[in-house]
Order: sequence, then C-alpha cells, then structure tokens
Amino acid sequence: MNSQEAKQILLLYRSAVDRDDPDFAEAMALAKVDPELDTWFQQHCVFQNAASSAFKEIPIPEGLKEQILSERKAHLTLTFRRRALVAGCAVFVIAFCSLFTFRTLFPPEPPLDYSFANFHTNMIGLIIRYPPTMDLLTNDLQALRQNLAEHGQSNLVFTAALEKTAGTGCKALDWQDRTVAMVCLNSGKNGDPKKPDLFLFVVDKSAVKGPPLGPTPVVTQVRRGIVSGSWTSGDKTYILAGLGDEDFLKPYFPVAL
Amino acid sequence: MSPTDDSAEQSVSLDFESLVARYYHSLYKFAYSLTQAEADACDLTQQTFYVWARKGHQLRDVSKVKTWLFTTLHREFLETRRRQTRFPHYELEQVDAELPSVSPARVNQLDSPRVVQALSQVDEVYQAPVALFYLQECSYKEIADILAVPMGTVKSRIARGISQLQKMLASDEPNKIHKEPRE
Repeated sequence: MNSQEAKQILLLYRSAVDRDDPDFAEAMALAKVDPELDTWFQQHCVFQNAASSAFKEIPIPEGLKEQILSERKAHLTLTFRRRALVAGCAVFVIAFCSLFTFRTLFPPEPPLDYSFANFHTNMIGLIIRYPPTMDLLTNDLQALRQNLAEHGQSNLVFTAALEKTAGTGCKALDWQDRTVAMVCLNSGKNGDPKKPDLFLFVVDKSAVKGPPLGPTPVVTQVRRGIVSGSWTSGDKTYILAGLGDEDFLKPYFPVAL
Repeated sequence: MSPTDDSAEQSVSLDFESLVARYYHSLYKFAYSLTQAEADACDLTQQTFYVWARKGHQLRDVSKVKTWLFTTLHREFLETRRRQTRFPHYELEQVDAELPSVSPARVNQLDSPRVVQALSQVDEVYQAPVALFYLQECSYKEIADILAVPMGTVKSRIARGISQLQKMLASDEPNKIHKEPRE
C-alpha cells in the first residue's frame, strides 16, 4: 500500500466509529510512519470531526416528537373508528344475510286460521281431494261413537235420520291441534253399501271462530254434486256433507228447513 | 451508540413511542441533510413513522429496525423528489488524487447550516450516503442496506461525496463543481 492508496482508505475513516475497524488498520499504520500522510490524516480527522459535529448539531424542531406521537394517536383513532365501522357494517350484512337465508329456508308459519269458514273448506276438501284412511271400518254406529270417544270426541249427537243410516267408518282428525270427528255414512241410496255418501264432521264449538249459531243448518252448495249443511248443537259444531243435492241432504238435518 | 453495537440493537423495543424517542433525532437530521428544509424534514420523519405504524409489524428481525427506518425515509425522499421533478443524473467522477485542503480557519467556521448547504451542492447521488456517513449512526453495511447498493459502491459514493463536500467548503464559490448530465 502506498501513501495515495492509504489516503483513499483513510478518507472514509470516522474516529468515533471506525477506530477498531481492521479495514483501516494498515492505512493507519502507514500514516504513523509517513509524516506527510500523517499530517494529512490529522487535518482530515479535524475536518471529519467538525463536519460530523455539524451534522449532529442539526437542531431538532420543538414538538416534533409530540407531533409524531399525536399523529399516530389520530391515525389509531381513525383506524379504530374505521375498523369499528367496517365491523359494524359486516355484522349488519351478515345478520341481514343470515336472516334472509333463514327466512328463505324456514319461512315463518302463517298464523293459524281457526275460522269456521276455513274449517268448512278444509273438511270438504278432504272429501274431494284427500279422503283419509279410516281409523275404523264398520257399519255399527255405536262402535264408531265409541272409537271416536276414545280419541277425544264424545257425546256426538246424530240426528234421527242419521241414526238410521249405516256407518262405513270413522276417523279422528287433527285439524290445527283440534280434534275433529269424521264419520262416514251410507244413506243406502247409492247402491254400494260400503261406499259412503254422507260425511259428518264434528268439532267442539269453541275450537272454531264464528261457528253456526244454532241448530238451524246453513246450507252451502260446495260444487255440483256436493252440498253441505252446518249447525251447532250443544257444545258441538257439525258439518254434514252429502254427495248429492240439497234435497238429498235435507232429511238428515236436525231441523227441517 | 456505536453503529455496530448489535447487543444494543437487539434490545430495541418495537413499541412505537420507544422507537420514536430513540430514532426521531437521527431520522430528522438525515431528512434535513437531504432536503435542507425543516418542514420537509419534519414531513419525511413523520411519514417514516407513519409507514412504520402501518407496516412495521411485517418486520421480523428486530435488529433491522434502524435500517428499516432509514431505508423508508430515504425511499420516501426519493419518491417525493420523483414526484416533484425528474432530476438529472450525473456521471461519477474519479475521486481527485489530491483532495482539497480545508483550512483550519474554515474548519472552525463549520456549522450545521453551512455544511448542509454545502451538501445540497453535492451531486444528489452522494448526498444520502454522505449524510449517513457523517451522522455516524450507521455502519457501512447498514448504509449499503439503507441505500440498497453494494458496500463498495457506498464507499465509493461516500469518498466522492466527501471530496465534493470539501471542495464546496474550501471554495468561496459553492456552485463551482462541474456536473455533466448523464446521457
């Protein structure tokens, strides 16, 4: 290493930092034996120290630290608010979607309709569309009454005309948590003793809203070939439907029309 | 603190307030050396800590905090400059064989405004390494990491920067240095 090369190395020497750096050791050793290099090096160190001090003495503006920290707090507050807002929106969206999905998958049950009109429609519909399987098949009216009594419908009162018909079967129906007695009867007029042409539905009067007020039947022409009469007697409400016209059904009413 | 004092670095707390207390002086001085403007230096320093607040958690190696902060500040400075103007590049000159001699009287007159003013006249590519060099906060390795250049390049730039700085301070005419735009 010559003097010029040593200068190039020592140019980067920082006395406060590089004192023990082996990269400078050889150049510094040369400076110790080279008076000219040593003089230059000493002057250079004075300059370096002065320049370094000048950089280190750059004044720091007052309040800079506090400003940095306050901006951080402001940022944190903003971030927290933003996150809270995002979280709130997310919760709202999730809740809305969950509710929507739940309502789609499990739509709320419509409120139960206990009106007599609905009861009448449902019972006549059974005859027309969904004739149920009977619990008991017999022509013995007493046995039918007994069977229905065992299912919660006792004290059924048959009109005198109905007492003369032959039973075909009976079933205890569940209509909106109410027990309904269904009795199928054969008038003897349709040529098939096993095929019912009269259907009697009996429900507790209190189980339906707006039942017929008394024993005088309210006749309803359901459709061609099916007619019904409804009345209330005691604590029971009756619907008698027949496969025929009004004249066919009238004889079986409790009160003559 | 010695720039290579690793044990001290290892104990650096990542707590935001501790970091600010520990580094805002150095970062501001570095920023001021680059910008020569108090407001810009404050902005750069704040921006650096703001970036730290957002992304600092990504830093796994605690010992790299200081380098990370200086690197971020330098990048922010370059980004700001890039937005402001596309400054020309200059061809690197060889370090003069004979360095200018700064007289003892002039050395005694050196103060922060004069030195920072002189630094602003130095080629821009040398300003950051020279500032980091004189702030004596970072080792050459750390300066190389901060500027993302090889160690040899850092030393070369510092040497050339010091040479230009000395010329500036030795001369009565600070703008005398010849700069040739790169093709």
